[in-house]
Amino acid sequence: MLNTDEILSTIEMLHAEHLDVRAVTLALNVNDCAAPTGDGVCQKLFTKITTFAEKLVSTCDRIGNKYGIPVINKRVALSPVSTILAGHGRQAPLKIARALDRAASECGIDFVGGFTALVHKGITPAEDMLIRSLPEVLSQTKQVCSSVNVASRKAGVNMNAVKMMGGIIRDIAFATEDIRGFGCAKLVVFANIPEDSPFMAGAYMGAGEPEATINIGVSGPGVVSSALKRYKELHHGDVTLDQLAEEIKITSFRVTRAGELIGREVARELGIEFGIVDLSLAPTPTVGDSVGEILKALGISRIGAPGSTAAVAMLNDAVKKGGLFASSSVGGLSGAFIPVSEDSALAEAVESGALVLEKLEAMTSVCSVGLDMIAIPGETRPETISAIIADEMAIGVINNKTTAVRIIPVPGAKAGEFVDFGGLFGSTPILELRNDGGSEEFINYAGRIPAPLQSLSN
Amino acid sequence: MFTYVLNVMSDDHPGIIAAVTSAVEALGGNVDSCSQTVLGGYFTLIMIVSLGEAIDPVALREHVVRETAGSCKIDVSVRAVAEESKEKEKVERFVITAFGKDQVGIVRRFSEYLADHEMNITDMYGCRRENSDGEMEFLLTGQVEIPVRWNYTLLQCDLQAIGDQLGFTVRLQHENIFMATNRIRYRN
Repeated sequence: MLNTDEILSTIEMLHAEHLDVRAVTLALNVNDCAAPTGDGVCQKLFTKITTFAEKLVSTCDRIGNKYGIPVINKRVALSPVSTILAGHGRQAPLKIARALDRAASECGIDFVGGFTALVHKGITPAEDMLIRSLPEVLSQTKQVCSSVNVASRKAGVNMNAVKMMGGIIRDIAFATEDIRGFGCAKLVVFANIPEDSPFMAGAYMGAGEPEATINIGVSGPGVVSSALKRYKELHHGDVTLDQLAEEIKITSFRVTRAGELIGREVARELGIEFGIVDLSLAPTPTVGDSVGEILKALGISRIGAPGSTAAVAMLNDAVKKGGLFASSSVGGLSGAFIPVSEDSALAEAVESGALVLEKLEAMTSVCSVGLDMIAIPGETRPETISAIIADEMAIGVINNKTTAVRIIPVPGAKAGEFVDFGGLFGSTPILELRNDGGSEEFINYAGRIPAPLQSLSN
Repeated sequence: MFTYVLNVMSDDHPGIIAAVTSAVEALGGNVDSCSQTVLGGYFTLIMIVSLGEAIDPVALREHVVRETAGSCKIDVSVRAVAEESKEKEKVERFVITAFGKDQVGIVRRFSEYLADHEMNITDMYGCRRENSDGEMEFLLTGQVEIPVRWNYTLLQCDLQAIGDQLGFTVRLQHENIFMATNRIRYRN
């Protein structure tokens, strides 16, 4: 029998502290959608996605209702589309992307990921075609998300791809100038891309996965910051960091359990294998639903001040530990995200000048993803964008972790100006970029940064 | 064996359980299960006891009252446990929580609704408490068994409507979410 405290603490977590299931993502292998013609590929893709995802939205809503936890986003992540593009002409990528958009609309899902190229060691003609199509694809579709893996621990950093991506990101920004470069928010450049992440824009289905799985992304920064505040209040502020880490761990355990419960039931009802639960503290612009607020609760009153990196490191580690104990099916990214525009406290810190690009980069070396939802001046040189990517990739490769860049050059905007992407994507000041142009020669060498010593682990 | 259910109520003080179990043991009785709680300074105890020989429930009640009279003043009621004959309907366990401004009739309104839909309350707790705005509110939590023939989404709508009439926030959620988030050992 449950006791009243157990009931009330769960009610508090679910209803007063913004706990939700951020994403239920149906991962789907589409290699069998290869066909001799582009139209044939489109037809097969549309049929396969709409067949598998037909009941995804209604099932998620019903089960979310049963447990009193809203499932915010329902998505589909495909195996890399570049695979089925092989052998097709330059018209094919946009045609296929439009078919994906139609399938997403038909099923009522919000995004379809997997317009992906894995080019960490080299680029095939199909991958080259996919990457070059991105300005057109991301400006002419609404629900298609893309990811490009340009580095890995085993392969090093493909600097040819890094160089290419700087120009592509700039071109996407200008192709979506009317929406302030927002097309770039649908593209993530990765090192060590996770094969089972449910979070967009970077979700795709990796090799070695089954035909279809259900992966769950749970969030809950509001739950963690409330738990920390409550704990400090209860002990009149007489607490130590290890005690706060323990509180984060316990909270993460509970949040992960909630996600796994929903995920397994959705998978069971759809007759699809359950994959993983990814507990990532993914903020939204809603006040209180913020990783920045957690850092404040940990005693960093100005986010970006010395100590911020250590606080993020402790938070990220405690989240992973709590999640691991809660479930044997933890995967994806599992940690803390610091997407600037989506986190009101981080955006505020950028506005006040306390949080700068270099400090964000340092924080990404100990948290779960990377430079995320960062707006930069539209006139930034492509080589500088590539150099930002290269730095982030180096952090991932050397530290054997996933790192990523989702950066938005805002056409016509200068540092300090404000940009609003709307809804869950939030708003942020444009970050100041120092030393723009100072790394052109380095980027133009291209080639490859060899795999590090640590890659020879066999 | 002959099985009886004993219900004991008293002012709360040390020694009640010792006195009652001693009285049962004096008849060679064994405690099969028991549950006890204290609310507002009052003690209640419910016990299932087995005896080797049949005894009139009235005689058992008088025996317990007489044997405990030296140490406590208790109200006792006793019934012989009846064999369960009817096959139980398949149910799922849900938790209902409701809170809002205290007023007459809260428990009645919700329990009437549950009874009307043949939903059994297996555990309930209610109290007046101060909310985060410093106002007094009434909080009710109940664990209920809901026959699987009911559509819980419609029940949620009904309960929400009752809540709206009373100015209460009401939720009906499957118990597994509470088990999953609170218990280390848990199997979905």
